[in-house]
Amino acid sequence: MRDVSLHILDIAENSIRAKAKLVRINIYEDKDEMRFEIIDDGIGMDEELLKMVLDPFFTTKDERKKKFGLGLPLLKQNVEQSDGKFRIESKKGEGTKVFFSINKNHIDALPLGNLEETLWILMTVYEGVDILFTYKKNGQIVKIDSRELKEVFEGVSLSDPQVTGYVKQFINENLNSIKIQEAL
Amino acid sequence: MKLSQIKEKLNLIVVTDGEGDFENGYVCDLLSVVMGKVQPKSIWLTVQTHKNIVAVAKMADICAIIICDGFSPDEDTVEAAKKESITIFKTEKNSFEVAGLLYNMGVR
Repeated sequence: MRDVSLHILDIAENSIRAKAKLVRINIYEDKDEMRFEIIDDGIGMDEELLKMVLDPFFTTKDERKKKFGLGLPLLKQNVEQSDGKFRIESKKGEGTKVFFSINKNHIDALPLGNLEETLWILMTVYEGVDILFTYKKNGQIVKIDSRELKEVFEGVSLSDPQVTGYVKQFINENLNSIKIQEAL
Repeated sequence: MKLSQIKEKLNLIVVTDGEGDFENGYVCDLLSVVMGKVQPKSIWLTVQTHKNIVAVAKMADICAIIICDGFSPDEDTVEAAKKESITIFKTEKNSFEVAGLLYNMGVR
């Protein structure tokens, strides 16, 4: 995983496997820093399991032939090597929160990658989970809520081929609105 | 090629010792790239020192890691390498020099 968007996808997929109903993805960006939060209401973890998720020799995925889970350990390593911060909190029965920050000026900082693709996959591939995405930058806020999209489509699944294209366009336009406002 | 041969020729410092043969060499510091591209039975040159390098080595069937440029592995990296039987050497030489020396010895 070579960018932040792929890590967000990985973390949110962990949330979905942990039976989350709502995954909130928040990004706060200012001149020098980007802060990320991925907050779920899944089954959560006890302290013992929480320690283990940062161990590269551990994974929650049973299907792997070789049992390793490098998603979070690699993110933590990369973020900390480039002057960022990483934190994970979890409570059994309540959910898990992952926080990390990126120092935008550090030459080794992870690039943001394709956020549009990550959100699109999360909203259209997985049934039974909702995604609330918030992006705050220079006092502007963009919100993309899969529950609102579902209301618009009146019961048609977001993974229905008839609507996936529209969902992508919707995400794209919303993400671009922040860039456009910046240019004005 | 035997690990013992290069240990001697390149004057490597042993962090966790090991015997055995390797077939290829690889140089990269981005762990995700290493996982995708390194060939099995390789010796891997990096400046990364984090415990994650041992997990990558184990996962990608890497025989040994040479930590270059005077860097030293973290304590928990050494512990993990012992537990997982991954050989780690270190050297003051940079990755370019070490790769060149290995290449001259016939490693590809």
